Amino acid sequence: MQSTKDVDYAPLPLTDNSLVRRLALHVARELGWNEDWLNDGGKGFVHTHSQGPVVLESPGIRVLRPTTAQLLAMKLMAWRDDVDIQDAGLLLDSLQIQSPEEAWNQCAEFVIPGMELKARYALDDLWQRRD
Amino acid sequence: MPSTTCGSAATEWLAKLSRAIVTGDAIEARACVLELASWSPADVAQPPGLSGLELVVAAAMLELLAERAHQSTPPWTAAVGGWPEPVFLVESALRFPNLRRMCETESPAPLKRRNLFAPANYLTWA
Repeated sequence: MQSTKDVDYAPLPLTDNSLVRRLALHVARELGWNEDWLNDGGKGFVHTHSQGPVVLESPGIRVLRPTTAQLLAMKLMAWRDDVDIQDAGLLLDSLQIQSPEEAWNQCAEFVIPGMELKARYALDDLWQRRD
Repeated sequence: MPSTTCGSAATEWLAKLSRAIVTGDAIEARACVLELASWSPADVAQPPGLSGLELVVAAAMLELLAERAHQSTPPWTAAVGGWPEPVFLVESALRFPNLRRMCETESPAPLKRRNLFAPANYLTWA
């Protein structure tokens, strides 16, 4: 099985990134990983955060996974290559919804203003794939 | 700061990138772009042994990566022309009409002038 070589994250609050970067660098040096193993490139597609499940909680750190609807919204906004498209298809399937309108209603609050048209076109393409 | 040495390794990564794109291995293509970010595009030689389409894609992608990094390209890419038929670098564009239109209108110049089509943010990671 193939996977990408990094982990995407967005700090909370979204503006406070320096501590996370320092800690990620420390982990990379300790474990011999690439220094860019923790990638915040996706934060450009995040303007609010959803209350997804907690995937890790230890003293000083709490890691939350975005909801599936937010992850789908991020993929629809990115829509760069077949990886994004395949990921979006899996996310859409896991939502188990019945119409593109229902999918859009779940995603729309996570779409960054100005990117609605691109995301909606992407969703419509993706929905047609299911027919 | 991109390195100005070890260009042969970068040439191998460019060859891998081109083959990954042509064969539709999008995850490998992403990995190759990340690797190529460590080198100066001007130091990347023309990869040997590529097929016709692979060479067109290699030249186009190197110019695109250089443009995004505000760096110069090696002279060999300018001598590589386009492909005679339109090629969509994102396979899904053949099935998704909105994506296809987006590729046709927004494809970055180094790709479009070679008859290659992809989204404007193709293989970006930010």
